[in-house]
Amino acid sequence: MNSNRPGDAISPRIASLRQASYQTAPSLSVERAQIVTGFYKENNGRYPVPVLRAMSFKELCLKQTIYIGDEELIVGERGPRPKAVSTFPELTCHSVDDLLTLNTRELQHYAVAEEDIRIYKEEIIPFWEDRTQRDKLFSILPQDWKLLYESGLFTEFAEQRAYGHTALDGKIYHTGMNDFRKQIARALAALEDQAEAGATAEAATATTAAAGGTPAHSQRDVLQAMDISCQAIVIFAERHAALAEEMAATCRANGNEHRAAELDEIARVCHKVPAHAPETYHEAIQAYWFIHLGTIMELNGWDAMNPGHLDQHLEPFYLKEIKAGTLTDTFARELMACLFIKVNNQPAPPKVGVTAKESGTYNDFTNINIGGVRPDGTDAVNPVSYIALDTLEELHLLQPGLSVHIASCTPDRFVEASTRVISKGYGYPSVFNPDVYIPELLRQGKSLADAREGGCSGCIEVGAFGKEAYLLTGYLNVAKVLEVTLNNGMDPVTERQVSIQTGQATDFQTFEDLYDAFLKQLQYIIDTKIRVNLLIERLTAEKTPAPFLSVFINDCIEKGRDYYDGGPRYNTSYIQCTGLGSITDSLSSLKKHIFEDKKWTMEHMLQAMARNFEGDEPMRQYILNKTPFFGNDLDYADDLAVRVYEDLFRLIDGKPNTRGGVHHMDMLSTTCHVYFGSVTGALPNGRKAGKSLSDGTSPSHGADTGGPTAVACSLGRLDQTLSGGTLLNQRFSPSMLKTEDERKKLGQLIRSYFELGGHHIQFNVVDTKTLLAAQKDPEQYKDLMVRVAGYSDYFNHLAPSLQEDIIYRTMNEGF
Amino acid sequence: MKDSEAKPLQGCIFDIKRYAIHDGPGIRMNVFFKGCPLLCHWCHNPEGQDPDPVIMFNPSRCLHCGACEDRTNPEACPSGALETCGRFMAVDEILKLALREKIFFDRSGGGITCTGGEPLMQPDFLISLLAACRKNGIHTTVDTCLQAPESVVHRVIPHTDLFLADVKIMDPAVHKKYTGTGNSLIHRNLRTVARSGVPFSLRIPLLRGINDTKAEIDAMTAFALELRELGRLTTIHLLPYHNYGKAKKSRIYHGRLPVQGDFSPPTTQKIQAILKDLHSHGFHAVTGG
Repeated sequence: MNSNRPGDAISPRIASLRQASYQTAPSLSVERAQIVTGFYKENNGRYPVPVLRAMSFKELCLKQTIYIGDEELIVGERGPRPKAVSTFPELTCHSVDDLLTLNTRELQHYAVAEEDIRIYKEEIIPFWEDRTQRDKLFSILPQDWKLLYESGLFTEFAEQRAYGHTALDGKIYHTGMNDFRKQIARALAALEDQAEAGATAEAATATTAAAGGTPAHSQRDVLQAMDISCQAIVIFAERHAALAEEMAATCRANGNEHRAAELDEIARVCHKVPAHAPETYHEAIQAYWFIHLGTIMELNGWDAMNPGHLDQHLEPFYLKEIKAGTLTDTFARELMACLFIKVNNQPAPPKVGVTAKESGTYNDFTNINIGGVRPDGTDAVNPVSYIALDTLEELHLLQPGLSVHIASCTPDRFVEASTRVISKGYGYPSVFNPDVYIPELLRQGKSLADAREGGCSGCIEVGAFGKEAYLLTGYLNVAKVLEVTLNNGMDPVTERQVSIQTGQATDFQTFEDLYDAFLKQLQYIIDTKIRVNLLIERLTAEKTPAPFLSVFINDCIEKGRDYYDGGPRYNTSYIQCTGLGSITDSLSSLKKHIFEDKKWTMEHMLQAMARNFEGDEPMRQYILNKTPFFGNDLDYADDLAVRVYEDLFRLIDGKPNTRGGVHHMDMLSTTCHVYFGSVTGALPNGRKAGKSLSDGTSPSHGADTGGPTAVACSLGRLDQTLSGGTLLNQRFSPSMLKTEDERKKLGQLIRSYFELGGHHIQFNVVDTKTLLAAQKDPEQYKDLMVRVAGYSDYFNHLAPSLQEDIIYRTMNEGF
Repeated sequence: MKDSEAKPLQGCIFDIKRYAIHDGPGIRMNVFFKGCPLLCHWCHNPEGQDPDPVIMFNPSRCLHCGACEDRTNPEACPSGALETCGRFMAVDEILKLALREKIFFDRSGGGITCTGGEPLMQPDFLISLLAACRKNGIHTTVDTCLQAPESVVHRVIPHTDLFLADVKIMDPAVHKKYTGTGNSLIHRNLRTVARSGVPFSLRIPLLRGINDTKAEIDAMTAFALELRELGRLTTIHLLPYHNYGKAKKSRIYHGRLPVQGDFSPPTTQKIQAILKDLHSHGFHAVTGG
C-alpha cells in the first residue's frame, strides 16, 4: 500500500498538519449546543425568528472557543478543536441513546465524553423536547407519507439536518462583510422609501407572487438578521486575530521569532478579512474559510459549503502576487494544502437512523470544482488548477472532494494530469462535463452567465453557484416502486399496504399493462413526496432561516428574503432517483421472459421472488445470463432505461415548490442504494432480497459485460440535460492504467463519453484482490480509499454491505 | 467450415472486445477470428485455434440442473457453464457494432483490430470487413501470424492501415517444434508486408530458454533491421509469456484440443536487457501491447 501515502513534495509543516488531521479521531463537542441552548432559553420568543437565528449565530461567534494550532497558516474550526463536531439541537436533539450509539458504534464513530452526555441530559435535552425542527416535522407528516417512508420508498433530507447544497460564486473575493452591510443597508433604505411612497403593499404582493408564496418573515427582519450575521463573522475573525497576537507575543518571549512573524501575519489577515475584501492570495483563502465556517456553524446543511470554482477565484490573486514577487509558488501550494486540511478537519455532523444509512460517511461533501469554463465560455484551467490537483494528490485525505471539469475546450495537458491522479487509485478526482451541465442549467431556466458560473457540488448535483438554493429533498427507490406494483400496492417485505392498488400482476396481459400500473404507482408516490416537501419547506423557512448564508446568495439581499424562503435567484427542489440499472434490468427481464418469450408465468416469477429464488437458482442464472441488461449498448434494455428516465422526468420536473421554483430530477444515490436494497425484496432481474441496488445511473453490478465504451454508449442514450446530474461509477484494474499511453486512452474515453452527453464519470482503480485483502486485514489497509458515490471514503469506514457493493462493481481488466 | 461456405459473407468469430487498448493505436474494437494455421504451444487463445465453433465447459459455474441435456445443448444452459465459443456473423453485424464505437475511435485515433485465431484464414470475410470499415472511415489493423498463402497477403494489404505481425522463433526447426510449421512462408510474407509500405509492428512472445537466447535475439534483431530497411516498422512489442491459455484449454469440452506446454517468461532483467539492446539499434520497443 505504499502508493497510499502523502506525496514527498509536501513541506514538513504540511506533513505534520496532514498527519494530525488524519490521525485525530472525530469527536462530538457540546459547546455549540450549550451556547445555542443558553441563548434560546433567554431569548426564544423575544425576537422575530430570523433575528433570533442571527443573534444566536452571533452568540456563537462571541463565545465559541477559538483554536489556532501550531504551524497553522489558515485558521478557524467549526468546533473547539479539529474534528470536534458540533451538534444542532434546534434541528435534531440527540437522545442519550443516540449519543451512546455514536460513542460505541464501529462505523462513523464519534467519541462522546461522559461529562458531555451529562450536559446533554441535564441542560440540552430538557429544553429542546418537542421544540426541535424534527419534532415539528414529524408532527405534520401525514400517514400516507409515513407508510411509504417507513417502507423505504423514499427518504427525507430535512429529517435530521438542514436542507443544504449550495456553492459560492466569486463575489466574496471582491466584497467584504462591510460592503455586504452597505448593500443590506441600501435594501433596508429602499424598504423605507417604498413604505413612504405607500408602495409596500403592491411591492410585497409582487415579491410574493414572484417567489410563489407568502414570505415566512418580513423583509425588514430578514435584512436585519443578515446584517447581524455580517457583524458576527467579523467578530469571529477578530477573535482569531486577538488570539494570534497573544500567541505571537508568547512565541516572541520564547525566542521563536519565525512563528511569531507567521502569527503576526495571521493576525493581520484576520483583522482584514472577511470585514474587507481580500487583496492577497492568503487573505482570499482565509476569507473563504471564515465564510465556510460561518455557514456550517449557523446550520448543518447537507454538503457543508462549497467554494465553487476555487481555481478561478484564486487565480487573479495568485497571478498578481507571483508577478509582484510577494508570493512564491511553493507558499501558494502550502496555503492551498492548509485550506484542504481545514476542510478535512470538519467531519459530517453525526447522523443516525435512515439518514446515517443513506449517507454513511464522515465525508461532508465539500466538492471543489477545478478546470471547466469561465463565465465567458473560454477554458478556465490556470496555474491554480494544477496547484489544487497536485495538493489533493499529495495530501491523500478524505476531504475535500475535488472534481475536474473537462469541457471540449479543456487542454489535453489538464486531462492527462487528472488521469494520472485517477490512476493512483485514491478514488478521486471525479470528472464532470461543463458542456452538458451548462445546458442542464440553461434548461432549468438559468441565464447563460449564471449557468457558466455554475457547476457541481455535493456529489454530482448542478447548481448556479452563488445564486441558487438547490435543495435535495430525498432519494426515491424506483426499483421498489416496481416491487410494490407487482404486489398491488403492498410492500411484501413489511406485508403492509403502503400504496394504491393498481391491479394484480397476474392479470396483466401485456408488458404495457404492467408498465401502466408501474407509472400509476410512480405518480402516486412522487406526488406524495412532493406534497409533503412543500410542507417541510414552509416549516424550514419559518423555523430555521439562514441569514448568514443568505448574505452570499443573490438575490436574497435585494429581495429581503431568506435563502430557504425564495430569496435566491433560483430555487430548485431535487428528488434523487436511485437504481436506474436495477429497474431497467427488472423491466427487461419481465418484458422478455414473461411477456415475450413466455418462459415462465408471472405467477411463477412472483413466487420465485417471494422465495428469494430459493429452489429457482437455474431460473435466476438464466435471467442473469440471458437478459438484455442496461450498460451493454443493447437497445432492448437501453430503450427501457430511457423510458423510465423520461417518465421520472415527466412526473417530477416542473412541479412547483413553495419558494418560487420547481422540482427537478436528479440521478444520485450516495450510499442510499445500499439502504434501499436492504428494504427491497428479490427483483425480477435476479437480484436477491436485501442486496444493494445499482448506484446512480451506473449499470447493475456485473451486468455490464461489454466494457466501458458500451456503458458509455448506454448512458449516452439518456438525455442527461433533463436531470440535475447523473452518476457513473467505473472500476478499472490498476493494470489498465500503468502506462502513459493507457492513461491517455482513459482521457479519450472520458472525452468520448462526454461527447455522447455524459454529465459525470468517476473511477475506482483498485483490483478485487486488494479489496478482499483489505476486508480481511483492515489494519494493513487503513489508508485504502475508494470512490463510493459522489465522494471518496476509506474502505474500512464502509459498512460491510457497502464494501461488497464496491467489490461487485464490474471491473474492466486487460484480458 | 460448411456453414461459412454456404454464407460467403459470414465469418466465424469467437469474441468481440470493445475498449481494447493494447492492440494498435487508440481505443479499438478487437474482432477475434476463429481458426489458426499455427498451433503454438503457448497460445493464449487456444479456444480460437479450431476453425469451427467449440463447446466450452466451466464446471465451477455448473448448477447440475440438467437443462443442457448431458452437455449437448449449450443454448439451454442457464449459468453460462456450457457455452459455444464461436458464432457466424455477417460483415454488417460487426460493422454496426464498430460504428457505435466510432466516437471513441475518432477521439483516440483508434479503430478495428482483426485478430484471433488468425484472421487471414477467412480471407474473403476479412477483406469485406476491412473494406466496409475503411469505407466508413474506420482505421483497420490486422493482427496476424502471416502463415497464409502469399496471394492472400497481397489481397489484404490494400485494405489494411496497420499490421501487427508476429515473429515467434527464428530457428526454423524450433519454430516447427512449437508451432507445427516452419517460418519461411511467414518471413516471406513479412517482407511483402514491409515492402508494401503499410506500417507494421512486430510482436514477439518471449519464452524463457526458447527464444530469449542470444542467438535468437541476435537473429531477430537482424531480421528486424532488414524489415526496417524494407518498410515502415513502427514498434517492436515484447510480450512476456503468461499462462492464461492453460485455464482456457482446460475448458474446451468439445472440439479440437490444442497443445499447451510448460513455459515461463524471461526474468525482468533479461527483458530489460533485450529492450535496451533493441533501443540501442534505434527501434521503438516496448513491453506489452
